[in-house]
Amino acid sequence: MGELEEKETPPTETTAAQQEALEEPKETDKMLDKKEDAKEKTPSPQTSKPASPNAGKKSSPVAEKKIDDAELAKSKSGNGEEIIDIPAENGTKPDSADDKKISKEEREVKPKKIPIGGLKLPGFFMKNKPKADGDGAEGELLEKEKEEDKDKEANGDAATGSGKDEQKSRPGLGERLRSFFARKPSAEKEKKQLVNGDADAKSEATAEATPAEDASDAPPKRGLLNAIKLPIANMIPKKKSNDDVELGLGKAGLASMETLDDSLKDQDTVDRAPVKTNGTEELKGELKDEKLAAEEKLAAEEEEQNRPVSLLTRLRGYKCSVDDALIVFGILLFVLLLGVIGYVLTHETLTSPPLREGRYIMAVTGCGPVEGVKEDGAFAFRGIPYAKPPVDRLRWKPAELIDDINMCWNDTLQTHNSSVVCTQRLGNGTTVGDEDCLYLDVVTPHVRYNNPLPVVVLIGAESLAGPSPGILRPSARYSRSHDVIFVRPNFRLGVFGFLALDALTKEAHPPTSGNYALTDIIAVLNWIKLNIVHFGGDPQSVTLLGHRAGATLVTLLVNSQKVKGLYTRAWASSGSAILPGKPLSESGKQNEQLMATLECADIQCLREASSERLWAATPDTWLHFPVDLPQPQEANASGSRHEWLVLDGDVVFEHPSDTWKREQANDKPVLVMGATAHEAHTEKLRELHANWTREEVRAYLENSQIGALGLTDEVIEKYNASSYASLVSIISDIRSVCPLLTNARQQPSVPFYVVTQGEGPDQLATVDADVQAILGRYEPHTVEQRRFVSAMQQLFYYYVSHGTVQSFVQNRRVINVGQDAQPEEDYLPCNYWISKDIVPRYARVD
Amino acid sequence: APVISQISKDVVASVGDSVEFNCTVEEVGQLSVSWAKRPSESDTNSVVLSMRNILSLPDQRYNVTVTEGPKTGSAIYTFRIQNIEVSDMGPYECQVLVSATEKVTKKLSLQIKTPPVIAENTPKSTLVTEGQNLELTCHANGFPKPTISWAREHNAVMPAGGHLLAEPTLRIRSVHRMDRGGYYCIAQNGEGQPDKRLIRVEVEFRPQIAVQRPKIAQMVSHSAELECSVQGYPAPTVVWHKNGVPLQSSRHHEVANTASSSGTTTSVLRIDSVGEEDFGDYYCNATNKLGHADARLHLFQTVIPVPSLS
Repeated sequence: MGELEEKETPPTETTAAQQEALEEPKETDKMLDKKEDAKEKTPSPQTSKPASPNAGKKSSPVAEKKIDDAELAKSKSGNGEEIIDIPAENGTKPDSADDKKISKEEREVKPKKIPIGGLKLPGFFMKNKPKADGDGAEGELLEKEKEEDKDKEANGDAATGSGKDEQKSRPGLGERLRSFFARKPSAEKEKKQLVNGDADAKSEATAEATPAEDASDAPPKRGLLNAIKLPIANMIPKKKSNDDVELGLGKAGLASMETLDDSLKDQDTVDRAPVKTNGTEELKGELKDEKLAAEEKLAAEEEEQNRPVSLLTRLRGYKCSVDDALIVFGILLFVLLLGVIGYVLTHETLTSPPLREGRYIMAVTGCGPVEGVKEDGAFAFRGIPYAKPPVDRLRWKPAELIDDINMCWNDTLQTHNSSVVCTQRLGNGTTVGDEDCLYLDVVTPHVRYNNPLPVVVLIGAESLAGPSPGILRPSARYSRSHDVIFVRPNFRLGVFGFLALDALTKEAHPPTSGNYALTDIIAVLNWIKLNIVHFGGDPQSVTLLGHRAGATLVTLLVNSQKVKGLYTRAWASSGSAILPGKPLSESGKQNEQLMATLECADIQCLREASSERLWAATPDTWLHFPVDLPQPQEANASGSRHEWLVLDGDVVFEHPSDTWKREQANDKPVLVMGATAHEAHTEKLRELHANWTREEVRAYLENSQIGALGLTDEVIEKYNASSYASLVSIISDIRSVCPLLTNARQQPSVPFYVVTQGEGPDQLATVDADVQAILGRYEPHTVEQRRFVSAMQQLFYYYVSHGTVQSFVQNRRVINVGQDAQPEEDYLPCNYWISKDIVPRYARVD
Repeated sequence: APVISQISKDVVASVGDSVEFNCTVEEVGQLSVSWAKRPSESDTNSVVLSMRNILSLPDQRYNVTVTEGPKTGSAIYTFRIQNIEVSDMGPYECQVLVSATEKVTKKLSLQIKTPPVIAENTPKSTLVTEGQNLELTCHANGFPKPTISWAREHNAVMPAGGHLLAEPTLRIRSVHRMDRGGYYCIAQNGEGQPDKRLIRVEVEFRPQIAVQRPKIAQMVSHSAELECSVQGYPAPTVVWHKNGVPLQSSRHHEVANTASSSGTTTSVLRIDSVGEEDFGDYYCNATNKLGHADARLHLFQTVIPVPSLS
């Protein structure tokens, strides 16, 4: 391989020599340009030097100088003068470090020379050595680079970075100097120069290595560490910025070459030409490379900038989106807040009206505002007008709603304690009340418009002549506890409420008379429909609760066309089973005795009579009706007994039994009928005997129609009649319980109950027991009585709320309300009385 | 001379029945005996149905036979009609033609029962002014002769009292506005279903106003509704006023009038978003050709909003 190379080299050398001779003038011009460039560049190294550390300065120039000396020595091996110059330069610097380095260099030089002289051929020797050495050098350089990289990572200081850069610049200069020297000689010299270059590289490597070793040996540990660090730092920057350093070195090299060139010109002009040519080309290439490298760096920097820019833009975008989200979120929060505020305000405005003096509350009606009073946790409005006063020309007229503002009150009507009642006859024969009496009471737990409550209308009267309302007074406590609204209306009684006369019929349009009290209640239902909403009530949930004579009115109303849509359901307790069936004209004639008593010939006269005179003129037989065991004389007088209620053809169009036959059964009952087992009890009857014994009961039965019919023994056996309670039970069944059951049976959907739970020393289920329990005034003394109250309330209030009767089964018609509500197939005693034609013949009237 | 010794009595039949007429003639000899039908009692012309034992008018429903009579020289001529129709009603004659210009005849009558039918000329409605007298008569055809009675729609009370008037003529003295409505003329004779005819009696009367809620309460910024119920015929015109100024339908005031089947006009004035100046008196005025009426309503302020009541 070596031999082949030797053979090929001669022709190239010749060609190069020819080119050099031809291009001599151009080279000279180029050299001038280069010199100028070198001058321009010189300031930069000077500026960089001051920044570099002192150690770096000292070490790098010495190394470079040494390298130059070595090259000169090699190139001018034949000249003794040159050798002499080198020691002189070395002598100028007496530093210890320099001395050590010098000694090392000398050692290196000596072994190299000795082997050269020993080999056969100079060409063979030189060629072989550079290859082997070069390989090693390259390996060392790679290792050094790696070390430098590690150091860079370890050391991040800017100062160290700058130091490294400065240190790097000097080796580059050395390399350029070598290249220039290599180009100057002839072809053969060029070859040698190449070889020398390799040797220089090796020497540099060894020089760099040796200082590290020396440092490790001589100084103390701390010094050793510092020394190790410094060379490593020096190495790293050199490699990094080789191009820049080369530029600087190039300038220095040119300067030195100028001096060399002068000497060469004097000695050998031919050598100058090829050196210049090669140098210029190389420099240009290097410059271009440097520019490209710089451009690449700039591009890389730009890219790096772009990347963070893109990241920044993304971050900014992300931030913007975050901001937008925050803005949107804020807006949503604001809107939500507005909504909440609006809701709160709306909710606040919908609350009840404020209380005055802590206990008065105002509600409005179609006739103006009314002020009620707080009691027992609810609000009571007593004395609200619901119809025009039934006086003067309106006496014996159907009730008329107030449809004229002139009949309304001004400002706010105080309805605190007004309790006027309609003129009526009490049990002791006295008369109380007013004729201007169409007022009603409202008791409500809330005055509000949301969550309307069901309405219970209390229609109470012991008889159609009074007393009224009897025990059917609203309970504020129960209004609150059961969430119902009680409406208790007054309605006309006696002749004021029921008088039917032909003369009255003729003047009316349509021609009819009687049943004015029923029209009062119809007016109440219309008032409720129009106004109860202002008291927290639900006009779609209205339950009529009638007691005794009031229950009779309820039973008739339920069958009237006039109340369609005005009520939802009804409850009739202890009413009368005798309902009007006589023609109106017949009733009218029967009532004419009133006119005769008053000596009136026309209605005008009647209208001018005072209420006292009218009560005085009312026949006693109209005010009392049989309530005891049926008497023999009753059997013949049934056709002529007085009845307050009549078939007026308008409100009461027909007998209810005809209505029942025609109408179909409903799923939900609109009427519940009931009675109590001992409702015939009166103190008068009780006091007939201090202790009712079996004999006394027998004697009492024997003296009645039952005795006349020869049924005494059967009855005693059937009822085990040996006490006052059993006697009262017999009377109650004949007069009330069984006749009502007969009516209920004609209406398949109507539940019928009998209260059997007793109270008091005689254990009687009195006529008021069920209603007292419903309104919370029944005072239980035993466990059974407490259970009864609960069962009764459950029956009623469940019906008010749901419209169905618990415990009611279609094929078990009767509900026995003792301590529990038990459905039963029948009420056994009634079948006996019906079969004997005593029921419903002797049913109680009113 | 020939003699018609016996003829069937008058017959009363129903549609679809079959009837038989018998005519016994003595000393008939060779004379011709015919059955004939006259269109009506007053019409003397007759249509010959049969001669001896031959039908002159071929009709599947007709049949004629001749049989020997109880006496020597007498014969019984029998004429049968099957599936009686209404047109078969009328007088029938048994005729013996003695000569071209002389004949011996006897007749019978066929009556067919028909359900009652009220005459078409019965008016469907009538108009009367309040205070005047009204008289309505109803006629009906049918056999037997139907009886006429009157009743009010919805079983309302009759103007003279009661629910049924058993007379052909309905008389109302001094008509009242409440007499307005439908009246049924009812004809019945026991055949088929009674015939009913509804005659609507319209009574002209001056307007009359009823206000169910004379005082209306509402809170500021909420809407309020004032309502008048007006009765009158002809239907009155309703106008609202406040402080003497008519209130037209506008953005703030809306007037809605609705008429019901019972003849009542309901006028609702709706005030949108009540302001302080809206509280006070309002007047509802109704006018028709017979007069006018007005009513006052008052709108007052409350501290809680009142929901719309409808």
